[in-house]
Parts: sequence; C-alpha cells; structure tokens
Amino acid sequence: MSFMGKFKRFWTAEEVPRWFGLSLVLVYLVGLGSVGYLTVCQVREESAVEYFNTQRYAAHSLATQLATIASQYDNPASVQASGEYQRILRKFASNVHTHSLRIVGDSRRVYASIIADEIGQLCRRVPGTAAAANITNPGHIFELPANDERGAAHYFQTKIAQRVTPHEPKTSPATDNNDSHPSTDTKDPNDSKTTTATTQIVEAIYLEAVLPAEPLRTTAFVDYAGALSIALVVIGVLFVLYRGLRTQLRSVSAIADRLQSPIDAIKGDLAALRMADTQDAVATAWNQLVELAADLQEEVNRAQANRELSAALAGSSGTVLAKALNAMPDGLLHFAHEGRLEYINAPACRLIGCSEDEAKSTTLGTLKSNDLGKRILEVIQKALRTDGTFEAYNEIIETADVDNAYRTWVIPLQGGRQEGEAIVLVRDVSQALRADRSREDFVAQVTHELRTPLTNIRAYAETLSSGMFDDPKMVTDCYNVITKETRRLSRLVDDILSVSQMEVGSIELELGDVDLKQLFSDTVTDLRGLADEKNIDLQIQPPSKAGRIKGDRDKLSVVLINVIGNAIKYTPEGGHVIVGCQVAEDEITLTVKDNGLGIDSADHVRIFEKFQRAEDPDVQNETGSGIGLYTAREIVRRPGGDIDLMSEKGQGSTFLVRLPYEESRADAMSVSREA
Amino acid sequence: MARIIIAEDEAHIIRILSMWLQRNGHEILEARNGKMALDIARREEVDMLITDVHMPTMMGFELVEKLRTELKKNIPVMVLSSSCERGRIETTLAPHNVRVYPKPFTPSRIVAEIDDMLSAHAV
Repeated sequence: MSFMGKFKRFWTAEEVPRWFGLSLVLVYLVGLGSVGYLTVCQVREESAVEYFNTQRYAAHSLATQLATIASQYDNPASVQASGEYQRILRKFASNVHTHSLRIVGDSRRVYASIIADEIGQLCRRVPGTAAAANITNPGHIFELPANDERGAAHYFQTKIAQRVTPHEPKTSPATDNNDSHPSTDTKDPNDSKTTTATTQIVEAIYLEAVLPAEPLRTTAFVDYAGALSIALVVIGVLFVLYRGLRTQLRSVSAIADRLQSPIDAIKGDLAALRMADTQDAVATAWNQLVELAADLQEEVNRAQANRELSAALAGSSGTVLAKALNAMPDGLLHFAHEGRLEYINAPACRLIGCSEDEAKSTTLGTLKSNDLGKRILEVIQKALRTDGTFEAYNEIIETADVDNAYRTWVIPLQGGRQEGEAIVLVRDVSQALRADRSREDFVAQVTHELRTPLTNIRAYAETLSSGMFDDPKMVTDCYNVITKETRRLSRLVDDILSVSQMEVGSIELELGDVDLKQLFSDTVTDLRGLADEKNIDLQIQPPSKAGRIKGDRDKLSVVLINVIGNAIKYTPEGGHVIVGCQVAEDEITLTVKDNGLGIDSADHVRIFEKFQRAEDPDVQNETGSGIGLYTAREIVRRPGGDIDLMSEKGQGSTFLVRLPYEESRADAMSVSREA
Repeated sequence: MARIIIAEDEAHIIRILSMWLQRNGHEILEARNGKMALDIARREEVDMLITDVHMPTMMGFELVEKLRTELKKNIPVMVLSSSCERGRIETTLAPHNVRVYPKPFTPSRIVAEIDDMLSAHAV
C-alpha cells in the first residue's frame, strides 16, 4: 500500500501498522515543537533589536533635550533643583519602559531621578558601568550591557556637558556630537564644531537609564507563528478526538448501512443485520439486539401460526376436513411448544379417554386420560425436549392383555413458524403386529418343518451310501423314507409358494378338464400311508355323479390333500375319516368328516387364517405350519367357492368344500354311484 | 458304551440316530417328547441326552433346564437345532453347558461328535 493509502487509513482511524501511526505523530510533534522554538527565538531576537533601536532613539532624544537645558545652568547642583530635568525624565519614563532613570554627576550624586527619594543621594555604582567614563566626550551615548540582580539589563549612559559660565543662549547647542553610534565617537573633544566659546566642563553629568531587555511586542511573524502553533495544537487535539469517535462511529455507520435495506427484506432475514464478530462493544450490543429481535419475531410468527392452524382445525368443524379428521381411524393430535395441546380429533379423544371439551386448553401434563391414554401421553412426553420443542420418536404400546397394540408417532414440524411443534399419530397396529409375529413364528416353524425332511433325507442317504447297514430290509426302508420325505418337502415348498402367491394375489388357476373320480383316487393313494400309520379308517365315497369338471387339477389336489390330510393328522389312532362328494346342479360339495379332536367354535375363523392354528394343546402337539386350510380356502374361493366347517371340540369335524360345478363339454358321461 | 436318551418327535430321526449309535455300542432310550425324556432321566441312570428343541408337551429348553436344576444331572447334552435359531438356543441354554448341533446333520459326523463329548466328560 502506498504512503497516501496508509495515510488515508490513518486519518480515517482505520487500522494501520502501529509504527506508521507513531511515526506520523512523532513528526507532527517535532514539527510543532520546532516551529514553537524558532518562533520564540525569533521573537526574542526581533524584540531585542527593536527595543534597542527604540531605546537608542529615545535616549538620544532625551540626551539632546537635557543638554539643551543643562547649558542654561552654571553648576550641576542647579540641575537638582530644576523641575525641567524632572519633567523630562518622567516623560521619558512614561514613554519607555525603564526601571530607573536619573542624572548622575561624576561624584555619583543623583541630581535628577524618576524616583524622588534618590535625588541628592549618592547612587550606587551600576555594575559593569565604566567608572571612568570618558568625561572629555560629553554628549556621547554609551550602551553598556550589564546584568544586575534583576536579570539582564542594558544601560545607557550619556554625557551632558555642563558649562562654567552662562552664555547667551545660542541656537546651536553643543550637541552636534550626539550621535547614535555607540563607541564610535570620532570627534575630537577639542574640535568643537560650535561657533560659541569653548565650553568648559565643570562636571560631567550622566543620563543613566536601566532598561530591561524583555521584548516589548511581537512582530507579525511571531503573530503568525503563534497562531499556527495554536492551530496545530487544536488540530492535533481534534484529530485525537476524531479518531476516538470514529472508532465508535464506525460500528454505528455499519449498522446504518445495513438498515438501508428495504424493511421487508429486513423483516424476512433479521440475521442479515448481524455485524461480523468483533471485539467492538457497540457491534456486540447490536448483535445481541438483533438476536433478541429475531427471537421475538419467531415467537410472534409461531403464535400467529398456532392461531391460524388452530382456527383452521377448530373452525373446520362441519367442513369436509373436520369430518375427514374425525372419520380417520387414527388418533391425531397437534402439540405446540411445551406440550400445549392445540388440536385433538375424535379417535384420539376415544383412545386417550377424554372429551373434546376436556381437552381444550390443556397440556401434556394436564390432559385427562385413561390407562391407555396415560401410556400414550408418556410416549409423547419422551419426545419433548427440555427446551419445549419435540423430536422425532415412535413406540409401540401393548395392552396388558397383549391383544391390542398401538404405535404412537411423534412427528416434529420442520421449518417455518411451527418449527419444534409436533403432530402425533396414534394407530392401532394390533393386526399388523399379530401378522408380524405370526410371520416370525411361521418362518421359525417353516424352517423347522423344512429341515425335518431334509434331515431325514440326508441321514438316510448317508446311511445308504456308507454301506454299513447291508440288511436288505434296512436298505428298502431307507429308500422309502427318502422318497416320502422328499415328497413331504416338496409339498411344503408348494404350500409356502402358494401362500406367497396368494399374498401378492398372483395365484393363477390353470383350468382344464378334471376327472373327479381319478382325482379322488390319487389323493387317497397319497394319503393312505399316513392313515395306515395311525390305523385310521379312511373311507372314500366316490362322487355321486362322476364326470369331468372344469378346474385346476393341481390346485384341487392341494385342497383335497390339505383338508383330508388335516383330518387324518388331527384324528387319534383308530379313528375314521370319511370323504364324500355330492354333485348338484351347479355345485360340487366335498365332505371330509372325521371323529378326531374337533375344533372349538372360537377357533373356527382363526384356523383359516394363514399361520394360524387352533389353540387346542392337542392340536399344538401335532406339527403343522398353519397354512393348509388357508391355502385350500384361497384356492377354492378363486372360482367362487368356499369351505365351511361344522365342529365342536372333542366331537370331530366336518369340512364342506363347495365348488361351482361347470361340467366339461368334452365329456358328459355319467357315472353310477358305487356301493 | 453309554446310555443315551434321544428326545425327538420325528420318528425317522430317532430311528436313524439310534441305528448309528447302537452300531457304536451305545444303548438308546427313545422319547417322543420332553416329558417322556424327563421321566426316563428321572428313573434311569443315563450318560447323555440328545434332544430336539420343538417337541410337543415339553420343549427342549424346559427339558434341559429341568434336567440340570431339578434332577441335577451334569451329563453331556446335545441340542439339535435349525441353524436359524442357533443363536437364540445358545443364548438361552448358555448357563446349562450344552452343545448345539445343527440340522440337517450327517450321521457319521454327529456320532463322532457324540463320542467326543462322552470321552471329554469321562475325563
């Protein structure tokens, strides 16, 4: 940066290197001091010169006058009595600043003086004066610089001739040797230029004046210099004040600049008014003020938003919005800061256990609630921070009987005037939770179910391949187990796949011609082994009207196997299972009747849901995935059929599978009923 | 030569394990559920228990717990499990000093494992 740049910054009290500022100040002070000193010296010199000139003139004039008077007297003593001498001396003294002025004779007797007491006295010797003044040179003016006890002083001495005898007064006084050049008397004392008789000096008398050397007045230069010094001092003082003020005012001017923005822009962004971080006290105070204003504005906006939202929600009664909010199944609440309740819909009132009136003007802590409500409010409380705002949170509450579950979401509002407030949603998730738990249980059970046949297959396969057991019966048994377990595994996989397909609704029926009798026969073959294991009497009554129907053979096979397989599974040893088929005009009914465990009426609906089984312990003792009946019903419902159940616990069960009957056009043969 | 209880509701598994273990000289006591296994353990001197987890009447967890706390039998116990439950089973049965073995298993390997456990316990 150039010198001028630095100087400009210095002048405007901006930051510059300290050395620069100090240098400028030093130069200023030295200059000021130098000017002052020079002025003083000049004043002294000039005034001294002026003074001397003035005194010389005055002394010369005085001496001339005195000599004229002296020539009129015969002796010095007459001078003493001369009032003329006194008058002239006093006149001189009044015009010239002098300490003493007197006429002194050779004998040092004072003949005249401006100090009356000295007249007639012997005066003391003035230090430095020549004791033997040149008496032979009357009329000379001597300048004798001398000091006395009062300080520097200059003396003038002049000689005034004193005649012995009086003459007629002459026109030309014996003063032509009164010149103003001290010590340059070149006149011969005996060479008088007067035309009068020679004056005989009886006694020389001297004019003795003590004049101070102090300057009497200043010249124009001194005036200017003095004024300049004063001006420089004043400027210096003002500059210091200016710099001090500017530092303070800089912050204020910056604030003023920021406030030049349009008021709307300021309102929209108070934070922009902040000053950059600074040590300056004014800027710090301003920033605090801006923050306070921003907080207040936010508070006002928040309150305004609250009023608008509450008015919209509350005032919406009777409108579509209010109806919708009250009709939704979920509880909805709006909490403002510090847990103030702004809105609650009807479902939330029911869940929490309060009326709309009771909920008015309440807070989290004061809202009336039942047991469930209390727990819901506790969840909301967990999301309330110490500063009164909400954070995101959700939690499931399960009722004591574990039958119902409610998930509570606390959703904080982001941005804008509602920052920190929260919308709370309370949703009944009982069904979803049950479904989740069922699914988890199902996965565990399915895994177990899948691994069991796999274990068997693997174990028996290794047994075969090890060759350790070469008994032929053993070998045959191993093969049989492997085969059976493979089928079991395959069926299970199909069931699980069907369930998945049904979940996404993608099950497709491949319609074809289905020979009912054949279908029955194949099913019985598959299940005969299972029935024989438990010594169950499996009776198959062929269809009353044999024939072919339109349907999906594989899916129908699944239905039969699941329903009949269940009957066999849940019938104790020695029981019976009877399978029949009635063909009506437009419907086929398959009946599967057993004398097994029976199903409690409370479970009649459950057992058709996926992953659900009867809660009967005897049923639980049997392994099952809980999807057989669900699968069967889904398959049957696709073409418009259904499965009905008649059963009581301990009294066996009868399942009725009803299917719409559409005779295949390809074959319309009739089958006689078998005995 | 050890007396081993096998608690398993799946008949084929009991059968195949019995075959292999008997071939190795062990005596097998079969139980189709946990309750039956506990009854056997109560009245008989046995050297080892092999049990499934999911069984009717009494699950494998309860069987093991009762074996240790009520019957105070410190015999080696092997629990057959599906691998997806292995972590849970190990955590639940950790205080009872059991070994968890995954299904499906290879008979030869599981028999070797059982022999190891018996030998280690004997020491």
